[in-house]
Amino acid sequence: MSSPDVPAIKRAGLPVDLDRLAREGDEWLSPEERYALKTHGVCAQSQPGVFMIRVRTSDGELDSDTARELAGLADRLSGGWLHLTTRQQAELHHVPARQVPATIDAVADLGLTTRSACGHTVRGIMSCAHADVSLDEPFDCTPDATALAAHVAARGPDIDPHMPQRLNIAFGGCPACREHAKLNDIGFASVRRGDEPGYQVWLGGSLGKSMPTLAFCAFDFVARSDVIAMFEAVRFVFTSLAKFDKPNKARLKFLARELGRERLIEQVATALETARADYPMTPAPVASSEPDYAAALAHQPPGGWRSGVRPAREPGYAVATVNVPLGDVDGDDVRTLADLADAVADGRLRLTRNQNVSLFLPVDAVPALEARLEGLGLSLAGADQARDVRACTGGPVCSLAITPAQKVAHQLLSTPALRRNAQLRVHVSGCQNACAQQQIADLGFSGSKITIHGEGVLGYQVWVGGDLTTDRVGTVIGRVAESDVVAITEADVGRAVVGDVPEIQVVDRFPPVRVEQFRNHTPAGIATWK
Amino acid sequence: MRLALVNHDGVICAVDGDCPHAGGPLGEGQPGSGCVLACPWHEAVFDVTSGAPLRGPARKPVRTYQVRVADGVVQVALPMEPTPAKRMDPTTHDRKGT
Repeated sequence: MSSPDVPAIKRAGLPVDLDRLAREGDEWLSPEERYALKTHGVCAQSQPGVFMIRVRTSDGELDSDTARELAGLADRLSGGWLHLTTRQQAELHHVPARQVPATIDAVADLGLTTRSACGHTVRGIMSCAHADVSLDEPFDCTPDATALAAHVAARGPDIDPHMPQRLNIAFGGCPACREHAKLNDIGFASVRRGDEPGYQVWLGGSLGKSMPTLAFCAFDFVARSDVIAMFEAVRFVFTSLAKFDKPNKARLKFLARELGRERLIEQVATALETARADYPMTPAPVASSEPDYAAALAHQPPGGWRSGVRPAREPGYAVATVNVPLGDVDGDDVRTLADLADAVADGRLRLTRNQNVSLFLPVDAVPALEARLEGLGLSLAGADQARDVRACTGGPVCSLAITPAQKVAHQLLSTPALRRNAQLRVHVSGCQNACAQQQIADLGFSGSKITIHGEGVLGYQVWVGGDLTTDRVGTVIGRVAESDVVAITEADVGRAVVGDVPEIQVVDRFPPVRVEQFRNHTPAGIATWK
Repeated sequence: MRLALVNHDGVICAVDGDCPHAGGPLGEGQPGSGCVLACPWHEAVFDVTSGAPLRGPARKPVRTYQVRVADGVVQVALPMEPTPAKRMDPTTHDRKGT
């Protein structure tokens, strides 16, 4: 099938006949209409006649009833499989073409939407999963993220045809969320200016396949009441100046490079003046008191605080993160988690950027939670650590993937070197599109067709040294065959971090390495190096 | 509905044809020694006699079915009730408003 003329179908208003899709299936769809389907959150899979449908969550969380209903949809349409993404969304796979429109409607009946979940749109807006209960967040950004999400959702059909490319947006102010802001086109990093809560605004981040770029801080402080106006100002500049007819060069990061950061800031600031009048916002009140850190830390759960059990700002409460391997759950998992959310937590499943599920609950309820999780083959252990490998869906399901990322990711879960070095972050993407954000991991892999000793094989580009705390995007140091990913990880991570190589400075994270050092510690013949 | 049949030393085992991890086609998988079957997509491994997952990324068992061979014909006992992994019947589910 030929590549779609995306600018043309946008100019035509993104028409696609969903009723015909329900009646006849998908064989009649043109490439342009398949693109238009993306703006309804529907993406083709590698398998003919079935589609992935991406569900936008509300600020990355699902209430228990909605979660149960979504589980039912997964059972009926997706073989029970729900994939949790690195942007807090949920994906149904293998949906037959004729069932796509009914599924879109069924999702809407849940109070959710698939609209604008894929394609050149304003994507699902991320928000710190624990902003309302976190010990580390300056204030609860959830109401502002929700308000912006509602604003965008109401305008999706009007906005989408004019978008040169996607806009990824995220909110949050804890250390992890502040780092994550740098990966987004628009990052709202929660801050306080004295007693006034507001946001640092970061612009132009994108880890797409070309020119992975971290965002820069464009505005030191923006009032909460200006969140929607700021979004509209950025969108105005973006849609006015980005290369609409060259989607591959149309991300905000390219516009920032072309204009220069200062000029982009000027443009946005000018647009903001008008947008404030056009898009007034009255933010919902948020708590202003400082948490009592000592009290919050003192009241520990049985087993103490650990990676999967973190103190909440309210003493006697915890945020427990269920480690969901590779982000894959089934209907029974989701229903059990929903029941647990009702029984021991606050009735909400909070989806995290590490593809896990968090619950806010009393510390004394943690053992009961762990006992129930054991029956699902899940646990709180290892969440957000090296064993919690981040992975996209990958091939052969995703039509863009080159490699079956989940196969390698699963193998890495039990790699002794990673178990010994829990602080490392490992991400695996099935291609260069960076859905698993391999460029910001300590050790990242992106699927590729490679050549090892003259033979074409499936393999991975190897990225090392990504570190958002120091604004460092990882470096590709070579390529490895799929079959040798575990071997190279064991050989190099294990040796480097335990200090076998005296030239390498051992730091908390995977250290920067020179190519020759990596080469020297990898078994001969299994990789090619730059 | 798809099934995967495995012939292990003359004993036929039948399991659901969709891998419980991500729906991979178990019928195209690789059988191994000891009544096991590996999913071709992500190499999850199942005991086809019990359905138990022996290696991830699958965490849940695959459904098994009773099999008998009569007059050279392999017969599989299918459940009376619809299994959860089946697709909605397009002829019985209409889109809203149509």
